[in-house]
Amino acid sequence: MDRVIADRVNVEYPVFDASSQSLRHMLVLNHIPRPATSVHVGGTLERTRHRSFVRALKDVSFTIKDGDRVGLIGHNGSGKTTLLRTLAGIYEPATGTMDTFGRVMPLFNLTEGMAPDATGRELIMIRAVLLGLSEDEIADVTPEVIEFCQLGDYIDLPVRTYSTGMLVRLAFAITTAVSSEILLFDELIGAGDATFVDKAQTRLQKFVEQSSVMVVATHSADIMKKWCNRAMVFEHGSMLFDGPVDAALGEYAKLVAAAK
Amino acid sequence: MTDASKANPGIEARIQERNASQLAKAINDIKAGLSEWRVWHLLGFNEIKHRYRRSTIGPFWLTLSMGVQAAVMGILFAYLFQSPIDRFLPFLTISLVLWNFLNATIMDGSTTFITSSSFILQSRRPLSIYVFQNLWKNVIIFLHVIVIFFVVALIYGMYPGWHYLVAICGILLFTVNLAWASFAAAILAARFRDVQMIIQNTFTVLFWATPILYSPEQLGGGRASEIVKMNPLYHILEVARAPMLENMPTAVNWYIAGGTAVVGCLATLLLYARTRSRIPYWI
Repeated sequence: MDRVIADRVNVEYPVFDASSQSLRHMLVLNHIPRPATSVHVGGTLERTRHRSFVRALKDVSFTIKDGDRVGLIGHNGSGKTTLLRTLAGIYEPATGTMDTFGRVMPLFNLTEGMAPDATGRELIMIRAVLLGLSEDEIADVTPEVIEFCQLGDYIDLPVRTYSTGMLVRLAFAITTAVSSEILLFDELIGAGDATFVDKAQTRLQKFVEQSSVMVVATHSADIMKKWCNRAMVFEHGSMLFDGPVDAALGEYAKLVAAAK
Repeated sequence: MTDASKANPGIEARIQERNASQLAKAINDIKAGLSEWRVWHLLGFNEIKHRYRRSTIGPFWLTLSMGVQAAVMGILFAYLFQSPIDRFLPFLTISLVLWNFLNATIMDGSTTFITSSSFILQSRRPLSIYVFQNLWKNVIIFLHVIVIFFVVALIYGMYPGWHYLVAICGILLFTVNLAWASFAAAILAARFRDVQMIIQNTFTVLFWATPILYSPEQLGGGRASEIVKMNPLYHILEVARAPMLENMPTAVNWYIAGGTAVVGCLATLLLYARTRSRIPYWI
């Protein structure tokens, strides 16, 4: 079954310099004509008489089906993160449509909503509610998360007393407790100290296997080869290539060589 | 059935949802925001809880400081205005409590989307959630601070009675007005960064221009009294304040406060329908 259908998606970021975000500019300065130009850095910077904006995604179309593990590759500013945010439904495309079917789980920042004064147990609750888990799901996963991250009595202390590694363990354990149909990663998560890494790898693998679709933006060819079965290459907001991982890495290598 | 709809059972519903008008999307966003009360309750509640963690009396510090402020101002103004303190102090206390509720809700409201940007850019939620979070946080603070009014009222022999039922209606109407005003402030301040400063300065002036520390009658009953009564803020405040002080708000108070709520909610809804999809790009 199709999980994601993108049809000629265009995404535009308005550009506000200090003056255009103010009322004064809106009221007084808008009639001053500007030359319409097109520059090539990151997305395309475009200007009309009334506004300037970055075209971060340009006519991007694709379909993602059950079982697809998609890697996104491209230079900084090529539109990977914008695409992930559009997939997550955070940005609405300026034109074109992006339809997703099933629960979308964006995993961009594992520590969203983590207040340093909350205890580990409270944090599980906060994160679970933010991830949109139901009461039943929260009740189910809490003991399992506590057991997995092996924090012992620390679970009832404020997280400000945790080391970074402990915090990452906890965040990782909560995030990967319940899988969804569509997983979105901005750089794949890896976690904690050496003893934990193996455990984490197994858990991550299971988490990803339970999902129908995964999309991950990454710069690492290794991660791409290990986790993905399909890859897309982006440049200046356009999709240059969509196909098998090895071919995509080849295309990307050509791009890098051309830029030098 | 076409091939596409066979492959995607959800597609028709999705297309319908996508093609809905901006107004329908805004209404759905607000409905969904209300139904996700767990999120805004948790975020709003935790904001207060973490601010006062390890403090013995917690948010009652606000109650205490309000009490001190009201006592000092009350005694001073009772002398200045030559009014009997047993009437003036309860009046001043409830006025300050309501004004602080209003001021804090709208001032915090104007930074709602900007301070929540890390949440907004993280995952898809109805944006109205963050407005409800701010409103809920300030309602909780208000419920702590209003305790001081009941203390003052008891000291000066104003006992609880049926008038508190009217007061609850008045405070609810007051809160509805705060809801749309803080929502509109959040949207405008996300787009125009001057709005926050404009609101701040306007409210400093309004504090003195609105009958908060005085009643309109104290201005002499002439033209000055009529002018301050043209300020809708006075009526919005009065429907909540008068019944707390065992008076009944006038019909004009109810009409203007109610009318402001209806017009304000509709205007904010239209504003939100126009801007909703752009807000994530502005913050």
